[in-house]
Amino acid sequence: MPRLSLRTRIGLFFLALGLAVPLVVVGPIWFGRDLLADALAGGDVGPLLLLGGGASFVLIVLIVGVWVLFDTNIAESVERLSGDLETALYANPDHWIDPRPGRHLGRLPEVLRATVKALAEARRDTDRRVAEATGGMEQTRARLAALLNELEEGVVMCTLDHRIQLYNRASLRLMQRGEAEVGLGRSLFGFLNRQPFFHGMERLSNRLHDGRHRDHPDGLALSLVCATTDGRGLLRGRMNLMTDDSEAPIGYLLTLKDATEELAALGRRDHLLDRATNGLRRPVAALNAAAWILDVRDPPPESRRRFTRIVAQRAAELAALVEDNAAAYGALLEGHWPMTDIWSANLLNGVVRRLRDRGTVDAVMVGLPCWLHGDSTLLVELLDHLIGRVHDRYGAEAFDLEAHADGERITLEARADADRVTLEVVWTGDPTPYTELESWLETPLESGPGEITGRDVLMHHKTDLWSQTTADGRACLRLPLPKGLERRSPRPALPARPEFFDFDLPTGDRRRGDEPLRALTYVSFDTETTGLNPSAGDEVVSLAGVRIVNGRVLTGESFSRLVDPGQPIPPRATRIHGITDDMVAGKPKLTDLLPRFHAFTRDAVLIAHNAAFDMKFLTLKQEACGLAFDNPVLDTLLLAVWLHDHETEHSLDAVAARLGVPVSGRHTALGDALVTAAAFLRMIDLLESRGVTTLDQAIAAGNQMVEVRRQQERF
Amino acid sequence: MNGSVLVVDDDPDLLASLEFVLVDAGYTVATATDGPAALAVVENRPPDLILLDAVLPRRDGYDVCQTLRADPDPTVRGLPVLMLSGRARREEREKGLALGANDYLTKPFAVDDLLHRVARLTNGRKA
Repeated sequence: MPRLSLRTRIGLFFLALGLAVPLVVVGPIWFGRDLLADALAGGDVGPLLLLGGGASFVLIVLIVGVWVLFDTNIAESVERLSGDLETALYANPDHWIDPRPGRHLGRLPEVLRATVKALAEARRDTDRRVAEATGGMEQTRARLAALLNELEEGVVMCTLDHRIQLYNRASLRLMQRGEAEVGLGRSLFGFLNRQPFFHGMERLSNRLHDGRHRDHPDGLALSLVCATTDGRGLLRGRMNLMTDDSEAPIGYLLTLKDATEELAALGRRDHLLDRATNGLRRPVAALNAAAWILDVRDPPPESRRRFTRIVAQRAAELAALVEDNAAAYGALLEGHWPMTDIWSANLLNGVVRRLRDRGTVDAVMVGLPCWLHGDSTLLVELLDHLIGRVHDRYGAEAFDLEAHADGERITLEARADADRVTLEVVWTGDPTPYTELESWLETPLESGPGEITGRDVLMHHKTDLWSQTTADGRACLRLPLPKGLERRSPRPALPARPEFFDFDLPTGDRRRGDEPLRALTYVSFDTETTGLNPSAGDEVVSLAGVRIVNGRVLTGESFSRLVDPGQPIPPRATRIHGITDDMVAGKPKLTDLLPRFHAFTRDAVLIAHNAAFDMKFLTLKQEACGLAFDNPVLDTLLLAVWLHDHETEHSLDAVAARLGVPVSGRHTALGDALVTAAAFLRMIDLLESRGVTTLDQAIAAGNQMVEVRRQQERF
Repeated sequence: MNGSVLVVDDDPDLLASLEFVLVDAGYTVATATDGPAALAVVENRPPDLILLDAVLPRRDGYDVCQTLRADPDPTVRGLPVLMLSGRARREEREKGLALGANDYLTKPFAVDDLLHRVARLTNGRKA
């Protein structure tokens, strides 16, 4: 039998209801008419009342029944469907609309599903077209990113209120020295001292205002020197004011270079020059006057003794000054010659390859490589030059090349100097006589720059070279060199596709209550713990957060650390997050990490799923660190409840699935923080459709849910 | 007598040499090794000329020179000052002359040149 239409079914239902009324009222009167007539004749209205009461009761039962049916089949279904519809419309186009509750609503659920499907397809289509259209832009962006990140100079673009809009890898290395982490939307002054920038901005604004920039050789740029906030670094930079088409300033571009060493060397040079000129004036004046007296005036013996002593003392003083100046000059020379840290294997390989190409000599690199400090090109030239001479002179054809840090093995030199690395060229034969080696050093290198000699190379490296016999009776040349710094830490990591610029940074306070939700800066964070009870001593084993600026999750600016909880991690906790005691051994304590995390969350609204739980861990420790996490907090759990109160399941997985957020890396702190961040961004649309547009309103919505939940718990 | 000279320098060797040279040339010489001591000497018995080192402890030569030029006593205000300095930069010389020095000599100096300038500045002030 074909299913009757919704209207027919409802019509029949109400027809039955209508027929039931006379049945309930007239039926009993008909069946009890004799009894009723007798009672009425005897003046007794009791049975009549009983009859009326009974009929009324049955009618009330019918009405309640009808209400229940309508509520469950119509009202609740309509509510669920509209909730689903909203989710599909604003958050997740692929949200599945459950047809079961709507089976009494005729074709409505089917029609809705079809509509949502069509909408999702239309959106995908639009997205595809947009993606195609922006493909070219993406490529340009990727090239720009590669270019910026390979630059040796730091490049930073700032808004007029000195917040970072763009930065590259080199700028990270230059600016990021202390606790604070460089990031989009952060103030430049967290890293660099503000005075030069205020001053520079003022000068450039004035230049622009007066129109002088049109003829100015530097246009709208100027050079500046600034210090990092920790006072350890000096940067030399160029500030370039950027304007829009109407010549209104919109921000500025900074290029930065590390000038710490350069400026220190300049300072040393100035100091030396001052000492070499002005420092000599006083002793020479005294010497000169005393000598004049002795020479021209022939003073009496008493005075003669006195002035002779002055001459002798001042002459000695001058000699000492000359020595000092010579030493300072030597140090300065070394500082001037461009030197770098070199991996000895690369250096010696350069020599080996060169000798092999020539084919006369066979050199082998032995020993463990180490870092040394010098000019790679000159050292290769020098070694090549000397080995060639040894070969010509003694016919030696096999050489061992080795670099070793002194003290690592017994050498003839008793001096073990921790600051030096010694390069050794070893061959079987006699050591080179001193005078011969000296003459080799005096001849210009074959292919060195200019007429540079081996002696010059040694002078630049502030060292010397000699030949001696090794412990096993072979001959060697020994060349000590400054040790290199093993600071070759990997370059500051930027993720594969870093969000390193944002030209649309909103203005105003990034966490003010009446700011639109979209304009705020957030840190979505999560903790993994030893258990569920922070007040009873459970501790954090992992803490992670990721920034959201201007509606984008900046995966490149995340914070993720393992934490030593100071207690064994229970196996049931490890089963959840996979973090073991071994993994946290030697990691910092939470109290050591919190200042860094606090700096990371500065100016941001905190977001977490079930935030009360995670916040508790932070607030329990904040006092010990002298910090206060007084940021506004939004809880995605409470917001989910507020948005979808008909849904019973509000776990992060369920919320993410409902909002169409792909889930990966769950139950790692960073993974959960990322999922929470993505879910929150989808919620913003839904919240706005319900009239919640500002931070205050969102917090109020969450608090409302806290109240509701509290009341529910009471029942 | 050729006149009286106050020599102010914190280098005792140079001070001794200058004293010898000037006494030998017939001047009456008083000495001081810092700014306040020099001003005290001027207060007691103004010399005919001050040989003033620019770099001095406590109050430097420029300071002393400016103080002299601001003195209410016209004799003190008009005292000739020959400034001696271990600094040779042009602006330092200009600064010395601007603050009231009559002449400026850079260390080291030729003694004959110094005597010549001293004679010129004390000319007409012979005791």
